[in-house]
Amino acid sequence: MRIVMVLGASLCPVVLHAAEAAPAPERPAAAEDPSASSSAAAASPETDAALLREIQAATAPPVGAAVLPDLSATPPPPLTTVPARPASGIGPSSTYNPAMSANGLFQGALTSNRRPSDGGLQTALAIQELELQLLTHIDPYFAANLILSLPEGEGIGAEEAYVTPSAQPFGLQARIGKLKLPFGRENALHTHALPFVDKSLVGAAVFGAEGLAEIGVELSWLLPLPWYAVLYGAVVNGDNPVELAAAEQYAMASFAALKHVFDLSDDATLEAGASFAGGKNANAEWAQVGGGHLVFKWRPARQAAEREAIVMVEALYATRPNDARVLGLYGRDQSIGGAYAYAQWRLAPRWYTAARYDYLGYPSAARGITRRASAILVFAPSEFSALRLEVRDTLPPFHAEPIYEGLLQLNFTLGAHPAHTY
Amino acid sequence: MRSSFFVSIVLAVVSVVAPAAAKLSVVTTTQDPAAITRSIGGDRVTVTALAKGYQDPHFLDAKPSYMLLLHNADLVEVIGLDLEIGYIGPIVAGARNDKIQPGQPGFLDLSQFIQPLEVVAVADRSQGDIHPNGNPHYWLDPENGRAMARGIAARLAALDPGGQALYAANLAAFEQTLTAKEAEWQARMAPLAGKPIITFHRSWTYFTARYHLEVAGFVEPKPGIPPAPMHTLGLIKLVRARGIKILLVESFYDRSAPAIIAEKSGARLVAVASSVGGDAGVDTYFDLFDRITAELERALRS
Repeated sequence: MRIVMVLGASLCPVVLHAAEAAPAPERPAAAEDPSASSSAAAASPETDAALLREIQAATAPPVGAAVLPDLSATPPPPLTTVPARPASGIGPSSTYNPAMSANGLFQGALTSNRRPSDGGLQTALAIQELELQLLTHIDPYFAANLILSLPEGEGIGAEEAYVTPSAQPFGLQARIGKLKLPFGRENALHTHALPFVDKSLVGAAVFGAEGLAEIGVELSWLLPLPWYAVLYGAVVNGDNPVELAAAEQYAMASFAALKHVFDLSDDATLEAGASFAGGKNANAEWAQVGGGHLVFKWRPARQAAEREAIVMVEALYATRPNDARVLGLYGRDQSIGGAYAYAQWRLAPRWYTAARYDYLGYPSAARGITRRASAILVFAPSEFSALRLEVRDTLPPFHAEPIYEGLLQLNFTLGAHPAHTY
Repeated sequence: MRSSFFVSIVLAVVSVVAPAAAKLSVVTTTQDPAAITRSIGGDRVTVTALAKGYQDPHFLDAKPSYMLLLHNADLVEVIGLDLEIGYIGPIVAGARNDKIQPGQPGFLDLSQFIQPLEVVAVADRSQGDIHPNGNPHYWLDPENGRAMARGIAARLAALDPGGQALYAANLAAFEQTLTAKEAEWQARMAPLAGKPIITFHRSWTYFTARYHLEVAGFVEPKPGIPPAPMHTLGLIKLVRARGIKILLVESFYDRSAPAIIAEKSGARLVAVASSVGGDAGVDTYFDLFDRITAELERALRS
């Protein structure tokens, strides 16, 4: 609650300033719409100002409209009833180019932590990530999806790169290549699609910043049940640097998950899932991760653009026998576990807010417990851009004082980005 | 108790794995092609529409239950022209049904049967949420409904040759009723020909083209962009200056901006269904135009 109040207070000046900076109402009507007559243009500025105040009071939500430039002066796009003809000739053709899109995440951060550890948040302006996606059919038999990312804007790498056979017999679907495995709810999400600016504490602690993204083969089966239920299984290389990363050759890791989604009504769904991954870790010991999640979504069909609520909880537990990399505690139990829960509420067509509580605990008392409370306010002018303000307070193990942090993120998408999964 | 629970689960599974009837299973993305398909297919088809008639067709999620519906479908009909771009890709891919993948006989893009309007040769997103290949709200021209019905009948006959005669007969009946109804709608709309109206979204392009109404402005400054106060003020001035009588709004849109435009300008706010099922009593494709034309006629008279 304290965080939400701080968030609200911090935004108020922005909104008020934007409202004050709105264009002066005495602009002639002809400038707003060329089709308006001269008589309308002659209306007195006092009358327009009073009318504008009434419009602002009557239309909701005024805050969203106030911070955007007025678009009415821009002429509509040129329209034609003749379909555009593709270019033809003997030169290189773009006809078969894949659908391309890019995402950018610009971030400003402020932290009360004077001594941020490696990977910890620092007070800075930064490129959080750039991502490029290419998606197309290869031929009648395969489709491909290539997602390249540049964390912090540098060093391109394959976040995902997989091929999907077109044939899907008996409700089966395969993916081959580098895959963000659908472990739980958060792992398969790309950074720009996360509900908060970054991952949950437990997600980052168990699988690392890049998540469980492995090279391998995944097979999933739509179970023949009256509700949506999918069983996943995968054999992967086991390269995750935090949990797996076996040095031995042929030390493959395995993954399995079961996901159910129930329609509670036309407007509400409930998703329940359980996931498992196991393989040899860097010390040639058997490491494994188990997880479960529940997601409730409500989006009324009559107000799909205006109202939406999401409540979610996810828990992960990982065993790491004899993992010597963490604090040098070789021979001791390095298992970790934790959970997070969040609730999201759409305030208006372009505004939503959410709050999350993170708990990252360890069976070993020597490792302590980390707790975090976060709140976020998002203004999304369209489906392709969003400005997200997050504040959070984190209490790490053995700290007397919490760490207060604020993050402002600009999240944007260019091009033909495919629709997100539910 | 445990055994009865087990039996009910088994029965439910069997009902999904081995459907008893051999009817053609058709899934449409919106209600209007569903209504037309029911008219053509009669008892030989089962038809399910994903969007409700009262739902903004731009704002559907790729719900997993849609994938399940498509998994068991013989035919999927889409409006196309990117109306379903926010969800159709994941649900068709996630359906794991080879029959209904694009390019297969079980996937029918109905936009191929109509002449699209508002094709934008050079598009970018500064123009708002436009559809570069054409405005997708084409079912609001009854002649496009005729073209859709013919396309649907042909595809049903191709997938179910045994029903060819029935589909042909039902198509003939549909067209006969449509022709008769069009005369009624034309008579109702004749007094509005040439008159300017304001609409919320670019949803009424085909309807206004058919009945020769002039769309003088939009409540949205650009497609998909909510109205800012300055734009609303400009519209009020425009309506006053031109003496515009009608503000046509789909029933699912927020009415705060249209309401104040109507209040301050004297125009009549007409909130009406733009799809079958959008209002009580709008159960068929003919009901839809009956309702729209009746509401507009009433607004003009008032």
